[in-house]
Amino acid sequence: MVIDLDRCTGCGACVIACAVENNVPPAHEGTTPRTGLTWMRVVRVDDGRSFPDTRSVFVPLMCQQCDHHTPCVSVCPQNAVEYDEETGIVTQVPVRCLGCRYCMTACPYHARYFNWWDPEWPAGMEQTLNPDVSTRMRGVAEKCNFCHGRLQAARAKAAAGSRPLAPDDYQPACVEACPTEAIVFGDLNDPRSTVSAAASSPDTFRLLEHLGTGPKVRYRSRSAAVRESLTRNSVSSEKEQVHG
Amino acid sequence: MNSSISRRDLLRFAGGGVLGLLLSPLPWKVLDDSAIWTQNWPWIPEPSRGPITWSASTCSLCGAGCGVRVRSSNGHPVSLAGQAGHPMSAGTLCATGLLAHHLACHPSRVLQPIRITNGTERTAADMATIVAAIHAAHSASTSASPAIAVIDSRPGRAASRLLMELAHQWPSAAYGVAPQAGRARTDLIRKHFRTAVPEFAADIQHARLIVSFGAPLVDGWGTAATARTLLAETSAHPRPRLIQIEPVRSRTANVAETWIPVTPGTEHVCALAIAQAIIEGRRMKSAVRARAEDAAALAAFLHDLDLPPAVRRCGISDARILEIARSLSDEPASVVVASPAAPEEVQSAVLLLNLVAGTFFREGGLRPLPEIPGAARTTDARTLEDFDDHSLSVIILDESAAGADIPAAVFGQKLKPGSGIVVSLSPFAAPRPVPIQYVIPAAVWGERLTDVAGTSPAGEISVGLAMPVMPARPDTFDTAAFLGAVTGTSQPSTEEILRQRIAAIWSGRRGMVYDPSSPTLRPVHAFGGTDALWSVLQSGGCWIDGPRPAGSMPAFRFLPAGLAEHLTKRVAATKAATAPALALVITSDPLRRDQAFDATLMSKVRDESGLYLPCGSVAIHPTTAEAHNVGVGDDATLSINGTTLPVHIACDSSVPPGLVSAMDGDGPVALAQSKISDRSVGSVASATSAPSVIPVTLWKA
Repeated sequence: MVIDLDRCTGCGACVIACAVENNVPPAHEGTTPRTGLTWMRVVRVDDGRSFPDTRSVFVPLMCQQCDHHTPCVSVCPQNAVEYDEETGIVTQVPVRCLGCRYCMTACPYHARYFNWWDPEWPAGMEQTLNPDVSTRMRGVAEKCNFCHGRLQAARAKAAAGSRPLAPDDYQPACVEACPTEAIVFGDLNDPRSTVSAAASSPDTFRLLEHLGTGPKVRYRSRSAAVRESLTRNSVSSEKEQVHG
Repeated sequence: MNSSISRRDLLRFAGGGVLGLLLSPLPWKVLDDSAIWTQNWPWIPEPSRGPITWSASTCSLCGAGCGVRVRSSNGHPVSLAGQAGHPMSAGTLCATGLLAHHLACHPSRVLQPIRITNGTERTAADMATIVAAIHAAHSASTSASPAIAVIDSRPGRAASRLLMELAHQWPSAAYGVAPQAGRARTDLIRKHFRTAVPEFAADIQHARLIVSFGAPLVDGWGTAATARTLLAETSAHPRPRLIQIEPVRSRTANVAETWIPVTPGTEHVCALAIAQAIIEGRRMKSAVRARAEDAAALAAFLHDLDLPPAVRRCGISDARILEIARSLSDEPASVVVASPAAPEEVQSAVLLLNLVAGTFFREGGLRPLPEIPGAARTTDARTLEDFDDHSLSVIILDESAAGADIPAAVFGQKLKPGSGIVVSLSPFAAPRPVPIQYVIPAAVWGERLTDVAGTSPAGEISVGLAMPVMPARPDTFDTAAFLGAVTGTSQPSTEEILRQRIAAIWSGRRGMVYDPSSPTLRPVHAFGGTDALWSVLQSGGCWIDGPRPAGSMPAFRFLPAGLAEHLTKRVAATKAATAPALALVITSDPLRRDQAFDATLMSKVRDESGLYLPCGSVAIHPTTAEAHNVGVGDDATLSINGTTLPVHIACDSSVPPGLVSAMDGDGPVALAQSKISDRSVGSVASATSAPSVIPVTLWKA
């Protein structure tokens, strides 16, 4: 996945599409940005210059799908986090999760969330839940999995057609929802894919690259200040400030 | 051999047994099974699984007319997405639109007629009582002025025609509309032309240069397609230049090629200075000069205004103004737009700049909007503010479609003291300052057939149908059913009116029709008749007007009667204004133009992520906060015109130093704004940390 920060307006459509797709419940009473469930969130980051030269970018943040030494996988005592060798997607298995939150502590991107409350929807809204995704209960961690339900549906469709899964067979909900086409998704290993071309642009970078986690989510910006800042520094958000 | 078992042996055996058990899979299996068991409590909602179906429709939450792809399970929609290739939205939906199917389960949903007393107490009401109250007002009316105002929140719908017909049937009733964003601008445009001209829309899609005075081009709902037009660059459509002139670094300013921070309240001076630079640089096009009746008078007027002292207050350099003037003159596909909420002097100055730059009747400029065949003409309808004070016994508000808010104070001003009532046809009854006594439950998106008349980023008009995609709640009304209950007569259904409109489109043979099954755009005349058109629209298609001839500019005046005096007065006020301690700018929450249509899951971008500043908060630059000794999250009171309101202080580096940005919405700030008519002086007093008072001057942005 490659996200073009110069195109992101911070509209929040990706955040909403993600929540609808993955049956993420609305805020419980008393929820704050620290305790909320936002598999995808958008954070505004300033470039550090003073007014009126200051500029900011909106950074969509989700699980970065680390490649090597995936921190959350290695710390989970329950094997509730798995690395899919075929797709490179880091998946969460909520029913195995004990709620120890080691993974949340280990994740350098603060992209994991904990269910502090049982999920609740206003009366009748359970009819609008996505049938391809199970709901989770209080006490388990969860995170973005590139819309696993869509991947499974695409696999089933491909299998029904007796053909292998093609990279264009599915797109995560955030990619589909982005009005400005700021998010590109596909097979990074396919040199002919659009996402590969975008990822090889000199404007492309990864968050906290020096940690060596090899995120498969790449960002791009024409602004050198933005690239420099986000490559080296953590994206500041209220959640991060609390979790350290 | 001693075979007795010692105490030590027992302990060894027990210890070894425990160790062995721990090393076996058993405890982990127990943990795993118990985890699975504890995560399947019966009270955790499970999705309803059933056959998956797909359908296409149109979003009717605002007037953008975006195409929607609906995924349903067991006959109930579970997710929405944009229709790729839809001419109005090009596959986009905004955050609000993505949640349209959740509105049916909104906690504020009304499912039976209710009576609201003391602003908050709700009790079930009898429909017959409400109808009797309306009839009593109708029959008791004796004066020449209307006693019943029927206010249409979204003119141009099929329902609008029914509301107008009610007003025609009852002599005591009159049709009115909620304040329309573009209407004030249309009225101003018409003053410049001697002949009748239609409404105009900015052709953003074909513009190569857009100079925006605070227009929220990518902020909030209804702007998804515009955002795509401005930012999704392709080889066929390179990104247009966007110059955003705005005090606060809004989302639009953030993605603009150039953001020019301007002192709030001086935008009109900036626009006039650019116009003067075009004229004095001899850059006015000969075609414009030829159609203008008073080009020389305009040059003299601008010269006499003595703009330089006022321009210095804008905070914009002369070089920058010259550069914008040069760009506007050199780029044929350019347009100047202003925020719909901008005050009249800004709207007037921006129109004047458009006339000087020659953007009217041009592709990529301001293009005339044709009328929708068969639609009721509502452009000349009055607003609630146009009715006589204290003359109305009943105000019927059709809020079944989201529209512009009417300031709460206007209701009290127009109703008869003590006896007047307000009846709202609305799906929701969220607490709001409007004095509504009765709410009649209305259907929400996806429950009943309704129509959407939209305008695309290219300035083209369209008609789409929002189809029923879920079962309607039995006791809800659409406008036709509500009016039928009020009048006791059989009203034509929405479908009947819409079929008449489609027949008018067919007979005009004008425009193109988008067919989502192909998906292609085909001319109207390629269809077999009204039924074929109706069928395509029902399947999620839309009618869109065809390419319009560029048209020639009719004769016009730069300075219609009264404009020179108005602008002179405002420029003089800018020159004379003393610099306030801090300028207060009230901005609107871009996702909450109508609070009631805010679905529950919007908490993701508000409470759970802080992506949008909450209503009832004021934002200041960190250096301003430090200078005035206030901190993030401080509780404070905002006082304007004697009204004191609780607010929270947020530090935001996108607000320039010297400004206080207050977020408008359903919160306390909206209450204050409804009582503000012009520039006002007030203060923000922090009570949390060290007590401090920040004097502010309000500039309505």
